[in-house]
Amino acid sequence: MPDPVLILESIAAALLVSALVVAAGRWLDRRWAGVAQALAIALGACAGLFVLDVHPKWPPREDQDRFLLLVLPAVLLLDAAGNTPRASRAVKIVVRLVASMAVAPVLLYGSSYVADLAGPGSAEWPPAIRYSILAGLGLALFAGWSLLEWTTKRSASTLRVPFALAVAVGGASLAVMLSGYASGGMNGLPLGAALAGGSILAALWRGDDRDALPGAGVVILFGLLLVGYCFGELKPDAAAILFLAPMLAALPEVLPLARFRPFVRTILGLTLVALATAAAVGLTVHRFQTKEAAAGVKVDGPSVDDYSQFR
Amino acid sequence: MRALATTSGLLAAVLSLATTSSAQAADKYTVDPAHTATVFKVEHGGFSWTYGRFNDVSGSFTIDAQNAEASKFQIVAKVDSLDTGNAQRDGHLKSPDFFNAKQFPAITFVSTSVSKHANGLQVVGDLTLHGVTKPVTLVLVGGKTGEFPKGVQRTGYSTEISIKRSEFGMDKMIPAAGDEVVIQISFEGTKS
Repeated sequence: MPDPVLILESIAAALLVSALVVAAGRWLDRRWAGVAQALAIALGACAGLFVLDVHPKWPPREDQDRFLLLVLPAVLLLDAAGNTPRASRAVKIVVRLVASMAVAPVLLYGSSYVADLAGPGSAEWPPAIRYSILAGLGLALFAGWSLLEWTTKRSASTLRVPFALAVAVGGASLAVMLSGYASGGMNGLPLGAALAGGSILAALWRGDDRDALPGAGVVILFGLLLVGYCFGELKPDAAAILFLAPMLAALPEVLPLARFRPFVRTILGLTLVALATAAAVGLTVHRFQTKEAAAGVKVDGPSVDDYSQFR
Repeated sequence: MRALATTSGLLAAVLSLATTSSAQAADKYTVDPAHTATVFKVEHGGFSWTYGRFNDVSGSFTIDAQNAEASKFQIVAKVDSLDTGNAQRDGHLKSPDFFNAKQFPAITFVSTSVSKHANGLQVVGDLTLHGVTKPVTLVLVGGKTGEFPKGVQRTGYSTEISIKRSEFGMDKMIPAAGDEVVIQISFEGTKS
């Protein structure tokens, strides 16, 4: 099990590789900025996960295998393709909708939620309820993804949406780690760093909304929260706050806040995102401490390190 | 008339013996959960052993006293019934970090061959854990049969096996939680 130093190293590796790829991408035509960002997230994630010694298995048997080998590459491809000059708006919306609807079924495939693992009719979500839940999850992801696409275009900011998503992904990772699914949460940290690295570098080089890819970030966030809730013990209120947190980056685009200068709006949006994320993580930490105290395991406050070391 | 009655009585006795003998040849039992324990232990960072058990174990088996090779065993433990005496640790153990109870909710053992052993029976079978099936060999010690309580025929066995969880794809957090898992199974069955 990686120690905190290794986790920091994986975050640093993901940040650095992601930033370097975006830097290299600056030599390309600006029309391919989205492709460079997708590549930066992919390679940054690979670097961070490599440091953590994460090796997803093929064929994929568990949620993390499906997330890292199927969902993430597919979304990065779609996001990059949607950010190219030839992509029409209608096609982008249809692709976004289809991708949104597919994420939850792929992550939950073969699990006791959707499969009759203990005999006919034993699935936790019977068919009638199952399709409603999956459709609801897909629509929620689609709505969040669409709002962040709108915010990206409206704000014309390289940094605001990707960084908001990176903050929320980081918070979600900690929350999932403290909710009985340490490795699932930990995998999210380098993914969040990969989102942040490329966007920070693009912002430093005065990029624009073509450098921002909301799709990958929002799917990473959604995936983390879904597996944290379904396979770990993440509570639905904390998951909902964390999912909605990056949406707060859209708030400054609404009047009367829209009158502020772009820089101020970005600072305001990111502050709101950070506050909501901190609230959800704080709630999860409190629950973790309460549960551990109830179990009578430890008198002092617990730490993530305790948990990761399987005390 | 007396001779006929004697003959009938003898015939009935012979038939009864034959029936009893046949029943003993292949007796079917259902696992008695009240007298069954599946306990495991795993090293905690090399300091000590953490013990746990599965509270929901079911199954059935057939014992053929005349022909051990015809005996069969099938045992299922529900992962969700895992209990280490600490709710927080139980939740963690049920997550994909370890058992992944939502993806692989049951641990099963199905025998593929049975033979006599000096201490009881040697049972080779397929153990499915964490969605991976591998052959394992159990030496079942015991086999005492009897009526307990009155009217209930029962038998019981116990065994111990050591596996490497990484071989079943459960490879996270090693060595904080040891790779080797020692499992003790003690079960009784009541004749169906």
